[in-house]
Amino acid sequence: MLNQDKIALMTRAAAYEQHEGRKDLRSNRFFFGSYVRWNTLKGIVFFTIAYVLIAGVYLLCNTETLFSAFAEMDFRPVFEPIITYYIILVIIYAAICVACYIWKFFSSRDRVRDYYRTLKRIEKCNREEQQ
Amino acid sequence: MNTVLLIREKIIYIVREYENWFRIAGKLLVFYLFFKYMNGGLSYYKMLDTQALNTLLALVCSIAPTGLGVVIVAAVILVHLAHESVVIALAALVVMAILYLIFIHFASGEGEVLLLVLVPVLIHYNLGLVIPVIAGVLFTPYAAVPCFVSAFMIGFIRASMGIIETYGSSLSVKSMDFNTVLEAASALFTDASFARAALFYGIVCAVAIVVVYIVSRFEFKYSWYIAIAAGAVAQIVAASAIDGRLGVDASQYGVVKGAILGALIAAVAQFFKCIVDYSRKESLQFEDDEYYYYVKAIPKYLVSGREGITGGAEDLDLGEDEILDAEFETED
Repeated sequence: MLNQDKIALMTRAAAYEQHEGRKDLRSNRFFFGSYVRWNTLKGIVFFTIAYVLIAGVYLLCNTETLFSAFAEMDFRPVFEPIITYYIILVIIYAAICVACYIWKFFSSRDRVRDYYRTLKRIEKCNREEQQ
Repeated sequence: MNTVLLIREKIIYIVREYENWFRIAGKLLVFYLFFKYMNGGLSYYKMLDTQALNTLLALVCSIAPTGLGVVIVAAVILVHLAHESVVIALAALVVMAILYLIFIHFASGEGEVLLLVLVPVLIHYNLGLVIPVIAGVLFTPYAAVPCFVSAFMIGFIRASMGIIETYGSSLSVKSMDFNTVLEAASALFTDASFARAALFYGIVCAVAIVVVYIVSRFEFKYSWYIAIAAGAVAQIVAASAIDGRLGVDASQYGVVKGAILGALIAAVAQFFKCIVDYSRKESLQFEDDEYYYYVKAIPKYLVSGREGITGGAEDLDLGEDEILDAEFETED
């Protein structure tokens, strides 16, 4: 005999697993701190690569300054502002990453909690069927 | 009112029935208009600027995942630029990489990625300012980022075309001169006008989207519709406040037209929101100890029950007794 309530619950769980569940269940394998730290680190690496590209473009547009720095062997005026801006911007970017991933983690945890609740209900249905 | 609700119900039913086709058709239209505009505008590589190829590319992008579609779009732009000047194409590639690394890797929803293609099309038809309020209804505040990125890329490509026009054949591979290349690259990257225009668009989008998002979260009646009106007003105020400061010549008529049109479309979208939000038809397969289940699940829809609901995940919160309408077939 088919239990329609159980089928509906299983349908819901399967629908979740096939869509948002894929990402959510992966992210919920992490502890909160590890998830935020790992993704923030990834964000910082991405930002650093992007910043190197931006710095390259900046130097390309200011080749005279670069050449004079080479001639005088004094790179400080060229690289000091680049590094200072990098430190300021990377801190801001890391803060944005932290806020963003905290929000992502908690919203996915809520969805996973709902999913586990559904699984519990399925389990309850199974127990009732066995009795 | 009941007639309107019944018409809505019928439309929702039709959209649900052919949901995948509607999605593909929507993407096809957006990508087709984009390729038509982009290939027609750039048109350096004449072979790409044909009706048949535009249609074929749009068809591929509409079937492929949106992320892949955006990669194809980027490749087409780079091919056009590389045909005229490898240096400019390289510069465009660097800019695309920077924008991806800083902004786009946060994107999670398909719709937000599709904005990267939709915004240039609407800007081309002077309808760019229609987007912010609609994005506020359909997406998260992150949607302001793809809007900014798109506007920036469009400005950058236009500036690149200006540089190619100015420097002409001296940027081609055969007659490339290092000093000219440096001069052209400097001129391209120090041209701040397109960055200012993109910043203007990005700020206006961010203000409208955030206002819609915040106001819609309040728990009063018709909060979504009030949020849409507030977003439209915020968009007009933000545009008027910053256009002078950023040195952008935004026509007041265009801003007001965009806000009103956007608000009207957003209100209609909100009225039908259950279509895009949570009424997806599911075809699923799973099993337990006794059966394999092949289920087609269609969420319930009741006119009377929906009137006061403004949309949210709670509509799918399954109760103990009544959940999804499920047609099922089983197999031992």
